[in-house]
Amino acid sequence: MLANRILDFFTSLRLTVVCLALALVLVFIGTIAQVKLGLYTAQENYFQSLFVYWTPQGSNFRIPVWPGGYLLGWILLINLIAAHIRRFTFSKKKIGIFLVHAGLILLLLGQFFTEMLQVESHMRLVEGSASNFSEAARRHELAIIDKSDPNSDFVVSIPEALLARGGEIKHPDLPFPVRVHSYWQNSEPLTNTATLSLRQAPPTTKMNDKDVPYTEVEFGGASDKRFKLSAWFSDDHLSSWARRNLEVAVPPGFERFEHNGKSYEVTLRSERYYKPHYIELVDFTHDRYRGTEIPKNFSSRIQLKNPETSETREVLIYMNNPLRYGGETYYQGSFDQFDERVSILQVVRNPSWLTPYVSCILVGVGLTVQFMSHLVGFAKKRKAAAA
Amino acid sequence: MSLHAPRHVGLVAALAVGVALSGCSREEIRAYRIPKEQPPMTADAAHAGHVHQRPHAHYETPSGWQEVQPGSMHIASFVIKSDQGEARVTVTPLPGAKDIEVDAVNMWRSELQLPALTAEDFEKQSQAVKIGNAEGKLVEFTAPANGTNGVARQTTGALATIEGALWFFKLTGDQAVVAANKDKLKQFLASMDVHAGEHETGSASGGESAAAAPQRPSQGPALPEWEPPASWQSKTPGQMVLAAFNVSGQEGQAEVTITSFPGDTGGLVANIDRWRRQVGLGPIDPSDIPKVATTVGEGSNQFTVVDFVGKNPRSGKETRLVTAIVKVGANSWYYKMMGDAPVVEREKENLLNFVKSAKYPNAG
Repeated sequence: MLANRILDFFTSLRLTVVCLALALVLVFIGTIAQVKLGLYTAQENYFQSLFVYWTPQGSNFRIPVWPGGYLLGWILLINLIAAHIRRFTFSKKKIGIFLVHAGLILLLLGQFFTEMLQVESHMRLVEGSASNFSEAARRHELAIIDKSDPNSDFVVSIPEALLARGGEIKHPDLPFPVRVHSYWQNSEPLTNTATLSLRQAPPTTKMNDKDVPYTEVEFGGASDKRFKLSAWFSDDHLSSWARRNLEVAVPPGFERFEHNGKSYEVTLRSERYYKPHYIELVDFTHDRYRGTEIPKNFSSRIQLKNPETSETREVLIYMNNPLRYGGETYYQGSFDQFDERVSILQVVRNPSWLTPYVSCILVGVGLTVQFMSHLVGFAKKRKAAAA
Repeated sequence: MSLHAPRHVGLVAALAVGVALSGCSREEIRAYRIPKEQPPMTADAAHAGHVHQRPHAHYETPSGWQEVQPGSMHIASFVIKSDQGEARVTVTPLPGAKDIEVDAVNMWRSELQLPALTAEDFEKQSQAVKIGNAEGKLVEFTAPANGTNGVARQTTGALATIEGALWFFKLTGDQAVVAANKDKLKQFLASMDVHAGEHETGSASGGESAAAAPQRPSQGPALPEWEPPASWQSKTPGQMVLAAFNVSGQEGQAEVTITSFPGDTGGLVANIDRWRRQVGLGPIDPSDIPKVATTVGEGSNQFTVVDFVGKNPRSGKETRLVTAIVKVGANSWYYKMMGDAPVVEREKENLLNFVKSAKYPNAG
């Protein structure tokens, strides 16, 4: 029977061994690939995918050549659960084994949900300033902001990946289509220009570097103008760098246009995550190891203000002492090398952050129960033999 | 417990759905409403209808010049684009600055990789020009096409002391564009109405614009209590300099100057690049900053020391520059020693002890 053959396949120990061997090779080739692709692209292509693809030179085909991290992870999980259900007979003696397996399953599922649901961003704060949004480190968005309401702004955020596909983008909340004329994943400034001009650059593979995208878009029926947008213009840090080091004028970070009596702003910027609360940086201190630029201690004294709950309180965030608030964790992340008034908080939203702790407890308790039951049994036998 | 095929195919199928979900990306369009953000301040909004308390200028913008957000040291900045290339115009006031015209012009020349002028050459090469109601000096120089962009570059600039501030007007860029805009620059200069300080203005209108300078203290901050080394000879400081010393010996001589400004005057990289230009060096690669800038002291007594060697553009002698940057409240204090390398080598320790000895009146 076909169903039984499928079950035989998914419950076989041979499948476990093959998957582990494939995973071993995947880790090796994925690690080597980081040399050429950089850490983040290699992670995406090899571990956060169902397959590793190969594209023959000069073609657009993507041929799967190896199972990716997600596929192997899921097969191992199915294999573990199916084998466990098929072969496991519940008894008091095996309760430890049961807990260990439950812990492992939870660990695998927790990691999957972390991959799917975790959002990491950062909040850049200058002493004395407040912010109600954090920004992604590597993801960008085309933000089209309807400014016509006097009390609030309506934002439609188009992720960079959709811009990369080109063509026309439509959305029910947008009264006009967005036509993408060009998109560069990474760009770099031209030298010897009076105004910051950019050229296409290969995607970065450096660990501490990030791609700075550029796009040319047009809004059908709303404006005939092609808007040239880049994070080089919208990112304060990058535009200041360009002004200071290249001595160039930098185009404005956003463009304006009118449509049906409404005024809009459009910008290509780091993807933003708005929050109902504000964080104001009261004071930022950091010490370095003597005679070096290596940071020793950071701390940010912040004022947390939530207009919805009228909550206002002061919090000190420092290494290993994050602020947990509104389902997010604010860690002391970094600082600006050139401006000592700037603190950078790492903001992590991970709904399944508890799963590794619960998994470890389950595995720990399971192992203890299993070993103790053997130990007690052994001790009893020994005592009986001695008697 | 045993696994019966029909009962558990559903479980395997559910897990397979999970596999499929892994392949789905989270790239979808989001729409949301947020509290009103304050619009970024534009040049017009910044200057309309308020009392100017800082050096500022009113002027008529020539056709074809596009006004852009000025940098931290400029009060106005324009970009000119044409089929022949690009150029940029900047307007910069330095309140209280005096006797630095030749140095400033040589800084413009160094940007074009041209050798420095002597004071005599500067007088010979400059022409008289009208800057509003004041008399100024106009200079221009051209650098031949270099290997990187294959286009000759030119700077045409004017400078004048008006109401106690030294004003710089610089048009620089591709040679053809600068040459084509020289007359417009003269018209722009003639339309200039500059003010050192406060007066009420209305909204900019009728093609006239106004722009104001970054705020600087009208008088320098109070000097700290300090203990200069006995071998240093105090001398009369120039404008913008709070104190100055001569250091000399058999190996040559050096000068120590102390200045203080609000903020960080453009940041460490901009300052290092400016100082490097003074000793004939190009801009620093940011990855080399740790090699030239180190932190000295501990806790609140920490300061940054920048140290590098170049050449005196005029004499060609090896010249070393050591600057200690001390943050005191909102101000940055710069203790700069520059001169013949052996003297600076010998006196560096004295300079650092001198910096450490300073007790600032408002340091708390």
